[in-house]
Amino acid sequence: MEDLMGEIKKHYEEKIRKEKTIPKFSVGDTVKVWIRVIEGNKSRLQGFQGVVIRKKGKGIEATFTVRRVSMDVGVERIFPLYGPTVEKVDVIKKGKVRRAKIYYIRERRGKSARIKERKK
Amino acid sequence: MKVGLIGKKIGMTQVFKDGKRIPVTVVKVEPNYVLQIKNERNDGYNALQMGALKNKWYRGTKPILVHVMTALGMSKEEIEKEIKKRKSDKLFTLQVLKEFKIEDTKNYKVGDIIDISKMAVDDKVTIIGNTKGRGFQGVVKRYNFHLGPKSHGSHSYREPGSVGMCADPGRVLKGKKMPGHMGTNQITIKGVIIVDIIPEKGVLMVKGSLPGATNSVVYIQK
Repeated sequence: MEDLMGEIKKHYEEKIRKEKTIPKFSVGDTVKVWIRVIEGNKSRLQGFQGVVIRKKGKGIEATFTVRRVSMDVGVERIFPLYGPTVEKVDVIKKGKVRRAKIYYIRERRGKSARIKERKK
Repeated sequence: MKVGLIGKKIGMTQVFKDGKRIPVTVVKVEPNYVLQIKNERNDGYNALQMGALKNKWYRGTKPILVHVMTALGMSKEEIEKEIKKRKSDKLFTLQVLKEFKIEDTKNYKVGDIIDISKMAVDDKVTIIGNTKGRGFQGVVKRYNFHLGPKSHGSHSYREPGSVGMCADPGRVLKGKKMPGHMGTNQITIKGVIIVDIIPEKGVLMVKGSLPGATNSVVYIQK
């Protein structure tokens, strides 16, 4: 049987790929996500810096979660990888982790919440 | 209603539009054939009988096969001849026939092929489909009754409770909501927005979910 659903997802994926480059990073990396915020008729970029703790889904449905600890409160934001609001993603530090999902970081504070840097 | 089409639910995904993520259901619309036209004078109302979803000619019943093929311009003798050949590449039958009431039948004639070019992005359409069968269900799932107490010796956790009064009237009122078969009923959703159309694949993307399982038939009316 033909995989029509797959073709359609691919159709949209390629359409978005033509307009913007999909950022490359992996779980454990410290990234800064630039989000396009629209206020009235003005738009500006807002940064959100933190650690990628999860990458989920395939193709156009893919999302990633960035966690940061701000004023002693953990903040997690989920971004659609192909979303138009995600303007760009700067990789600040590459992290070396052994898990695909680093949820354990949620229970850690301070020194134990560090992630080893991956050297090339 | 201007036009009605037979489609097939393919699945769900998401689409980005104006910076927003929109959940969409993908509906495949194969070419629909106009098989019969009903008009006010003969039938009392205006309607088109549409057929869609091609199948091998020997799959359906013969009356439908003949009805479909005559509508598409074959004579009865020709059809008989083709059937005798056993292997025919001219014959085919249609899995779904459905009548759609429309205001004006002037622009259509029997044998016409209608596809999704009749639909446009941002159109509001009415979609009819059958829900998934859920089998014999209790009153909590079927009618959203409240649950009873979980503990303290409760004997009425998912029970329907009292079903009526005492000796007067001495019977259960008709239409009382009770456990029974749930699902596979027809649902009409109005005002469904078409988010996108991919003409080369014959596919409509409509906002939100639709009744029924993947590969089930839905009717789209505009």
